[in-house]
Amino acid sequence: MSFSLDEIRKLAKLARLALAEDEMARLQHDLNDIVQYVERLNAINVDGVVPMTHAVPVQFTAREDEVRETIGRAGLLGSAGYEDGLVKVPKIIE
Amino acid sequence: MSDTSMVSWSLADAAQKLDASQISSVELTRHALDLIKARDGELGCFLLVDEKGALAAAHASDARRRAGGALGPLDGVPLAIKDLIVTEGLVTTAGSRILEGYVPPYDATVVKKLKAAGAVLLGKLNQDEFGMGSSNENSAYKPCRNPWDLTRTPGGSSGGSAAAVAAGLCFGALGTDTGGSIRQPASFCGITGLKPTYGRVSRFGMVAYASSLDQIGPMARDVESTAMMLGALAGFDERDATSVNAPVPNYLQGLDGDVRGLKIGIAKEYFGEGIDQDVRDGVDRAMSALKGRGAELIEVSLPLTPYAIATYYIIATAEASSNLSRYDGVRFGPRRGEGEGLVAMYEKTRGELFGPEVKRRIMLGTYVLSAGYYDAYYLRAQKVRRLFSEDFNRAFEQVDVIICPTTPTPAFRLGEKVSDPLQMYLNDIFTVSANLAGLPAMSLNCGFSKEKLPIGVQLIGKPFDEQVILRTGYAIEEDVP
Repeated sequence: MSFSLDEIRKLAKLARLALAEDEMARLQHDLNDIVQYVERLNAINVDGVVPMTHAVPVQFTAREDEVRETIGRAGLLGSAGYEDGLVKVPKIIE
Repeated sequence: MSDTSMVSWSLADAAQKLDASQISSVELTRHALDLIKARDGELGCFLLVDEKGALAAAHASDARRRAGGALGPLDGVPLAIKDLIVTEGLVTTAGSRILEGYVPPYDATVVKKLKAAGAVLLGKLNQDEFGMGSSNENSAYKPCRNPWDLTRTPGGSSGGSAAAVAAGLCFGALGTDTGGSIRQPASFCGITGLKPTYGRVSRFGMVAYASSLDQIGPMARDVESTAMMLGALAGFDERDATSVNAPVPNYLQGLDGDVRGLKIGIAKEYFGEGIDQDVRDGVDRAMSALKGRGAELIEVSLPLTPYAIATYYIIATAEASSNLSRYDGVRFGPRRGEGEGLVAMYEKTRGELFGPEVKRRIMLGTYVLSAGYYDAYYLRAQKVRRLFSEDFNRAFEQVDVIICPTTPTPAFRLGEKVSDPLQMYLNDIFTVSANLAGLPAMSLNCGFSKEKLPIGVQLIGKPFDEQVILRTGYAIEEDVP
């Protein structure tokens, strides 16, 4: 695998990253190096191996649905930027 | 009272002197704050110092002790927290511009636990952005320097934590470890750092990098201090679905230097080419010490070791690209490109406020997860990860603990590897396997190189067997100055 600049542009679009032209060229070089390196995994036979998603078996359990103390409104909104008790966000619907 | 010897105290020393009323928490805290003022300008360990909060906590601790109600051994001991861990009311940036000024409304579980144990929290420690780096040079704020040689890196990503502990700016610190980020800087700075078993310590409130690999752990001057901290941190947390509900043993038990009959595994793959001779000698000293104390050295094989970095960088970057999608300019931190349309705002915010290494990893992660490449890279890496885990299981049928170098070389120079990301990644060759398999692993000092740089030896244990690692480390520490 070897990345063209167009492929880097497409990936940046998928990753929602605005990149300058020199950054793209740099990333093209770096990703080519790194992907070439990680392709060494192709040498390992993984037929029939179950993928491992977690280091320990994860069991999801439900807890009782009960009323508990939670973070207050001021705390939750503290970093959000709010006016008149409303969260202020940029326009996200076009 | 100013005691110049304080700078050489371990956390265990400080705790013991507090217990014996030989010093107060306020005195210890003032000492630490003074030292931070005097030295941190050149070291760059702290991103934030909470002088007021620390002194208030110290006064409260002293009052508890006077009333005979100390909360435990950590009560009144000044510690510090890596900035990847959220702290209520204290700016938490994860070393990134994209979280500049972010004030979390809650404490991470580990912070809550340290506060409940009475610890004094001095502030937030420098790191590579989002934990991505091996030299602390990816901090968006400032470089951090190795106290043993200011021209060298303290390691990363918990570089600020390791340097602060080594320089005596705090008695212990929290680090996080996704591929070696506790152990590698501990090794470079000559301290002890333990990555617990995955699930042993709650990750609730840790800014996520690669969720299936991330762990929080203690960093301190010696094994006993590390054990004391782990005791305060370990345990089940209902807020972390991956935390494991297993009893927490007394980690101080068995720290007596007796390792007779213990089976120590030496994986030949960890002693191949490219290892600095001084590092080899240091690890040899540790092995001889254990042998001299009656432990049995047994050769084991971990044949997949040459594939560890490749597996790690596929899985870690895939998870990172997903985890970091939350930074979009809407919910956290500063915003760029407002009013230019939604997608432009996302792209400009992320493009301008993430650093180069974070962007590199997001790009790689996006690629290995993208349609057409998922099976070839991500799925394959997850299968190889399973094989890694099985390799370790086989080795642990023969031995109790595995010994190896933490890093191939002592601390490298600032700027030395920054232009070659792959060379930087290869520095993690001996540490990433423990994350892939979820195993506990600790680095501790085993001497110095000819250039007077610290050398670390790594001990890897069975799942939830931190005790054997600590016991083994303690025995090494007894013999290796």
